[in-house]
Amino acid sequence: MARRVSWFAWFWYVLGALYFIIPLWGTFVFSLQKERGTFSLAAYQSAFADPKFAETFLYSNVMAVLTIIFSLLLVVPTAYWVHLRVPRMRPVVEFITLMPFVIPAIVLVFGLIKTFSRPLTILGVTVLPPLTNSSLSTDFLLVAGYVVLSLPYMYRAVDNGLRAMDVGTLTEAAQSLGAGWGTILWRIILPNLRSALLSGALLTFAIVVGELTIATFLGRPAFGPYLALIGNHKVYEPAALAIVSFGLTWLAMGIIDRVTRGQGGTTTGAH
Amino acid sequence: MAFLSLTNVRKVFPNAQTAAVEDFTLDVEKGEFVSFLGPSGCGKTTTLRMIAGFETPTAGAIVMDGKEISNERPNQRNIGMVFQSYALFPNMTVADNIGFGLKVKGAPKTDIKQRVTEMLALIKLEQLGGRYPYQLSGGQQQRVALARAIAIRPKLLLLDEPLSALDAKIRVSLRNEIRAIQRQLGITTIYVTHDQEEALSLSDRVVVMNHGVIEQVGQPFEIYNFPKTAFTASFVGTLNMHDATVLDAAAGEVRLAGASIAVPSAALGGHRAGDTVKVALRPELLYVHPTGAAVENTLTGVVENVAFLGAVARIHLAVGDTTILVDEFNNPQLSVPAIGSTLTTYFTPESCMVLG
Amino acid sequence: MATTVQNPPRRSRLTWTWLGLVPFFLFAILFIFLPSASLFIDSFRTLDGGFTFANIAGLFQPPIPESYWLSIRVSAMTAVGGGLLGFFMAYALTVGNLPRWLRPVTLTFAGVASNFAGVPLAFAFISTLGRTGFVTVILRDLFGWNIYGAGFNLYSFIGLSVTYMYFQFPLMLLIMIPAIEGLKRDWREAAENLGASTFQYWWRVGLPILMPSLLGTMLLLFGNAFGAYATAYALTGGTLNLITIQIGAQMRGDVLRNPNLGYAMALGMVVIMAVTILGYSWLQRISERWLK
Repeated sequence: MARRVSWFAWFWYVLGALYFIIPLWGTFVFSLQKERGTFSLAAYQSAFADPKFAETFLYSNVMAVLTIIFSLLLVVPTAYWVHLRVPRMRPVVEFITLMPFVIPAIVLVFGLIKTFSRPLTILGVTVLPPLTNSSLSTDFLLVAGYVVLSLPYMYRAVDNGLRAMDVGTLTEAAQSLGAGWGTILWRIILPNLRSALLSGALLTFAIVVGELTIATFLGRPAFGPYLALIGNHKVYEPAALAIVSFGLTWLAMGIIDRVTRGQGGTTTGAH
Repeated sequence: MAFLSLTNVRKVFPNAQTAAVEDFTLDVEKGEFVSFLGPSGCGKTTTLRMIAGFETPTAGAIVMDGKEISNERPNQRNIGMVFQSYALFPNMTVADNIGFGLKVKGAPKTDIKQRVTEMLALIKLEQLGGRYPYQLSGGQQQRVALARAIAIRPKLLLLDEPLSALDAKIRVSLRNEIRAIQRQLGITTIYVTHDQEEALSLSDRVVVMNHGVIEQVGQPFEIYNFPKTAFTASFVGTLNMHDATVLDAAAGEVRLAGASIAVPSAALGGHRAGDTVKVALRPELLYVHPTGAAVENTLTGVVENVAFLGAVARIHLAVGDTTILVDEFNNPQLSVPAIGSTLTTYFTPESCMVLG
Repeated sequence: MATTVQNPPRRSRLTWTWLGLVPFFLFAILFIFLPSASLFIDSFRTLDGGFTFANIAGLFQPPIPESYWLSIRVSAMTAVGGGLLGFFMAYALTVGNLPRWLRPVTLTFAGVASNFAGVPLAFAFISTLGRTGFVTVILRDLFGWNIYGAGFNLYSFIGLSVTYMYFQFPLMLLIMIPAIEGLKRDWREAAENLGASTFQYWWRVGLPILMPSLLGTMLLLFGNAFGAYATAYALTGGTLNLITIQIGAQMRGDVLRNPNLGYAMALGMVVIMAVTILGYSWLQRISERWLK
């Protein structure tokens, strides 16, 4: 059947496309206007020149990497075990990984501070000292919070990956050929999960690097709080940093897009 | 004038190398049940979709009830269609699905209700009008789809492989039910299938298709016993088909698997001694035990394998380099031949088909 | 007898398999359930530790209801607005017959935009629609239209909604494209075959089938905006009286003069989020059943 291109479709497409592009374009042009009467990269130079920028950006990157490592260590064996041995527990585990949609970051950090700023006692026995007393233990709390935030994305990415490769049969095949658990996980499951793990990791990275809420209330020198501070004092530098941050998000999503092509998207997030 | 006639219909899809349907000409009488039979990709579904209006013919004419319909939109044709996937609307109950066609035509509510009740009785699902499709079995869903297509009192009913998603048992019972309903309503029906048993058992006439063209049109008996082409012969039913050398065309004598075999001499018209022809034999027309009549043709070989299929035992007989299939009807009093034993099979000259 | 012998070893293996999930559950208890439970419990406690409903009752004293109400309005507004824009754009990209190459580009863009939130997003909108923003200035200087004079304010309800929409509608777009593609061609053809026009097909079949995922995704967008803190904080500096901003202020210094009232506020948020997500998963189940 011949179908005509409808004005209706074009109208909504163009409207959406403008919504995408105008703020980006506006921010970009704005970021070039630090020097009066001419376009220049002065705002970028000034933003990058601030030693606090490098410091906080590095700190957030380290936290992001730690988050990814802990999240993977927690999620991969769990998801694998659920697939293979305790499929009955799947709804429960899935429910837990979706908790961050019910408990927003602001509530989560509220609860974390309330719980871990005093010694944790169970039946009168102290099992954990206060975690907010030293910066190292606060960093640990920060990473734990980020792992919670990353759970829905990480678990879904790994779960999709496991679903796509028929873990049960692969594991049994490996066992019948004499492989032990370590070999199976390391040489069979993980290599087949590569693209799923990478997309989960990059999504986590995109969420964590500019994260404001948890970092602010735990009082850590992260990139998000630094950005918010810059926003209060500078005019053009925030625009430059917004463009840089958009570029980083784009990079992360672009890589995810490439590695998971044809496997169904995992790039939808929530805030 | 036939009720539905397709004349030189051709369909070429954009960017396709070859035509999906080529020079398709067919007349269907009112009340007739016609099947399109062929392997996937043979153009049978494309032809059906052109009749329904989902594809536009590249050339040719489709005339229904005296009216050219090729350029009518599908929603104006009043043709009912049943899809392989059932295509029931999941958001509607069974009753709403059946009444959908009348509803979009703006029929009064009471009429719709009455027609739906009638249809539910026809498909024997009176109790299930309030259910949703996902609460029904596959067979029930397809009956609802049939009722939905019939509810609009279509001039023509099209069924596109309606049974292929169902279990074997249900397939047989439902196809009988479809045929019974079709007879009861006298509705002109075109049925697309790749299952030869379905086509043969249901149809008044079968249209065998291959590579977009009609190979043969005929009654099931005709198609099975007198195939005109090697394709029809081999697609419909099981067949022994082997090359044979003509020894004497006038006498109807050929050499097959090293033996001299008599075939109907008329079948060798136009051939000369030394030509290679294809001789086809239905396994059930070869006998292990003499039929009593004077038998001219015999082949002797070694039993390679015996497959017991229930109603028949299919014997694989190695005659020289050629394997001949022989079906022996099941008979608990007789034992099947042992593998490795020597066996002679008999057949009449009339049972030999000479093709190409 | 022989069959009963197999039972004991199987049972002991089952207990072992549970051990594989211990680290995960331990983590969840420590960092999800314990913090949530302690907020929950203290919401029902007086400052001396006694049981009370006073904190819950306190949620209905100004300015707390206003905060919830503003958050709900912003979330509903951006869920419906972003939902409609995202849905129609998904419609355009799937059945609208637009050029094919638009699709991958738009999808990548949407993937990025739906994850582009927080402080940088606020900066982008300040640079675009702030008092001296790019678009504000263009509209003023080239078209003589001062949007701030006309009542627009980026640091208000409307401005925050416009900003949230930037990540809301791409999320809708990403979820609705597969949903619209889940509509089987056979449904459309069956409807046409039964005499339905294109409009009748969409009105009676297409849209009703999509409705659960449409509404469900809007609920998801609602929750998405309701829990957002960073964007709002960076944009308005805490001047807009959203519930998340209120909780933030309470954490920074006990502005309510009652920490337990702060916990109750957080509990109220969780309750609203939970209802939203429950509605979402209920609608999702219907949709999955239909599109199976």
